[in-house]
Amino acid sequence: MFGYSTFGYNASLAWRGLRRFPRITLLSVLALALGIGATVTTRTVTRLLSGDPLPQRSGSLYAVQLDAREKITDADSTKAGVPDFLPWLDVQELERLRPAIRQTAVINTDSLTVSSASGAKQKSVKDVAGLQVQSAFFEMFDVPLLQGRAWSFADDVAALPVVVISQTLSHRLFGDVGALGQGIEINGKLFRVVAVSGMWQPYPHFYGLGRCIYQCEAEQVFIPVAAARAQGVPLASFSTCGSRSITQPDAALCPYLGFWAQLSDAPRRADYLGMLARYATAQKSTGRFARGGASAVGVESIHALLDAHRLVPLSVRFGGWLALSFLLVCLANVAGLLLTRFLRSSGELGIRRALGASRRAIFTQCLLEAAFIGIAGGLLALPLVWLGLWLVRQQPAAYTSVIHMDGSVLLALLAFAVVASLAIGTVPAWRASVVEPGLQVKEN
Amino acid sequence: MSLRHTLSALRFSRLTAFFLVLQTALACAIVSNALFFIAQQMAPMLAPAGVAADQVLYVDHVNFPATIDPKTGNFNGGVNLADLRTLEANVSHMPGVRAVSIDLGMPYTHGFNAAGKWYAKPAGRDGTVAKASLYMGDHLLDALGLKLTEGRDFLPKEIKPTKGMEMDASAAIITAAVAQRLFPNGHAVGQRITMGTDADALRPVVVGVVRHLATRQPIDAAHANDTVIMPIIPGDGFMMANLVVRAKPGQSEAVAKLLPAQVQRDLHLSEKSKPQVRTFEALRAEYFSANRNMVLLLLGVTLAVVAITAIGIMGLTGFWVQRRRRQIGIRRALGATRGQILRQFLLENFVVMSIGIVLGMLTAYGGNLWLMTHLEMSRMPLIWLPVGAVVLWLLGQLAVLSPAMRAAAVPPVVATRSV
Repeated sequence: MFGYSTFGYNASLAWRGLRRFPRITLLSVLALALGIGATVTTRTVTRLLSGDPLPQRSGSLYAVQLDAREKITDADSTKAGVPDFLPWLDVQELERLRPAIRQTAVINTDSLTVSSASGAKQKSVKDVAGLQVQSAFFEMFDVPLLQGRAWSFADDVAALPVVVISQTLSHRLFGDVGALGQGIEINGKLFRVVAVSGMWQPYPHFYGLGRCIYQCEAEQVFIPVAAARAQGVPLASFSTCGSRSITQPDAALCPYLGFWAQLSDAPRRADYLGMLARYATAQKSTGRFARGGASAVGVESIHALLDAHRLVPLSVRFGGWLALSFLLVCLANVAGLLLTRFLRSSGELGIRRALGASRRAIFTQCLLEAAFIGIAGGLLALPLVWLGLWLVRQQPAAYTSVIHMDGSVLLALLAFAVVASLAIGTVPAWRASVVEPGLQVKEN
Repeated sequence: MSLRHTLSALRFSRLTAFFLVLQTALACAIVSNALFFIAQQMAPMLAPAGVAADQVLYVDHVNFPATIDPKTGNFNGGVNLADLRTLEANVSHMPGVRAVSIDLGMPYTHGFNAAGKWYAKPAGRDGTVAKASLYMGDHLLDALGLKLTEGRDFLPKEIKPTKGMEMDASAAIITAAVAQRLFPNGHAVGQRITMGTDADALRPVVVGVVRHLATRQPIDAAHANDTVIMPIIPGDGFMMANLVVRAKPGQSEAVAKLLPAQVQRDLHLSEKSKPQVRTFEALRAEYFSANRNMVLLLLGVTLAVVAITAIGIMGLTGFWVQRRRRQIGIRRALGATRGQILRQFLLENFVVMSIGIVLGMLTAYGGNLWLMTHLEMSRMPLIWLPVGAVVLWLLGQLAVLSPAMRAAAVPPVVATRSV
């Protein structure tokens, strides 16, 4: 009870102290709010942009890299220079070498014209984006299949013209009837729908391997790579084969396919890497590859890939660090303001001490003032964050439309404001608590 | 007032001085790094494009739906070269048109994407390599308004259409930047340059050098002009073709209005596929809009840092003055002038800020090193350190002016009172 009343007394003194110097109080609150506001705004942006695109899978999904170049001319070709794209021939070979491991080629395809192939009431959808994949893709990339089942590995080998389409596309082409089992035409070539997929749009679009990252069109059709090759389904505009631009893979040796393997633990990863290295060495000995061994291969996790392709814009990341250092400036500033504020009232504090208050009581009173400023600063930071995110959304950059306020951020923000203000209030509060009672009374 | 007095005054209130130094150091580190980043963002915007910007129009993606037969390798659909040539001829006779060129690739566009490493020697072993954007077209020099500094434009017989996916060229025009990279000793004209290493490598001879021509997507000033032009136009069946039109001065708007209908007529496009005509200036503004916004945002944060720091300096110095009113009064009573008091506070501020600035410059340098390893930012030239320092010194002197003037206004009679 006694403790509580002392606390209450200290709190009321702290409150009065704040009101006695409204200008300094206001400045402190403002500085704290600005610093926290700027930091939280940029952190929200970076967190969203570097977020985990497939939380269930990001630990086990790896992009496979293999240097299938016949000649390497660049003097600077190092481990970092292992290409992300593989030739169709090697994709098939690797799948044969490790049948127990889920593997799939993934490559974008776009500007497709998809139509229902059922006679008179033919409906057509233009400019459809899609992916060319293999049977293991749906399981590996967590694509929900609402109806039907993915095609099998045997279908992959047989280059069967089957396809999985999204529910949205199914609706547009067949209405309520549903697309399952129906035939559709993709750029005039007949495919049979074996499954209908639900909402699937990982963010950022990491499997685009640096081609389309934010605000990409959701893929509506998933075509087997083998069938796409056999039927002449074009690749996305600006696909490359080595350093050349292509719209069609011209040969089995053209490295144009992204390739992924599901490697759930370290031994599997090591085994797979060893297999890759041996494969590259074997290819080198036949004269197909210029490089063999471990230096010509690699596997990269989703997070490493996001980093390697700099999928978070440099300016956003720099902005994040700038805001954090801005917060530091603001905190140092508030600490300075608190110091002057406490020392200005050292007269009163001295009298309180002379009347019997302990150093601890003075310290508590000062720290409470800091805490009040922290709470006020945190509350004021809320509208500032809202305003900051609104400003970011006004920018025309491609990624901005996905930015929104995150509930968990707000609580963290308030907690941080209080903790930060207590931390920076410690030194000034200590300085205020060591004033000599007698000296202060005498001087005044 | 001597430096010794100043320093002893500082020792008197160490904690206040400490916070001043801390704020100055942080602000100095942030300001120099942020200004450097701003300058980097602005550099490609300021690099010359070499194009007669106010006259050039761009007809984007005259799109020809094309597919390849996987068995024969032949194109279905795609460009019809005869139609494209008719279009070019008709546009060149349109009122207000000065020049026109068929083209693939254009500064600040995302369409046709070609770039490659060029070597002065086929082996590429002598270290002279230039990674350059590749533009193709028949009359690009006239249509873009490029300045030829050496050599000549392409001859009609050098212009070749693509065959399937293959392209070949006997001649190339390069920018002065590429010429400097490949032939540091000069004399680029007449030399053979090589892109690629295999049998189908391109080996054109340099016939001309232009002063400037921006790359497709310039991201820094050093490489903003690494460009090569080749006399290649899209042949029958190629998947895309674009058109660059240069209007006579002041007539680009009128020409832009007439162009879509002409393109539709000559290429037999349907009513729906209306080609998009954009001015070069619009393309450029759009391309750099992210840079512009980033610059504004960073300037905003930098200003906020400066403002907050100024408030901090004023607050701390104001308190300092208030605490020392009696001392000031005594000094005034002993004959110090107002000017001397004012100068004393300015000097004190200068000394404290200088300590902060030295620490800040070290922090700025360390911060830049950290950013280099973690964000792949480029190294900050040391010249940016004094820039931050000067900003902070000026800021400090301005911020301390009002408290210092209040100090100078303290009357000598204060010495006789006890507060």
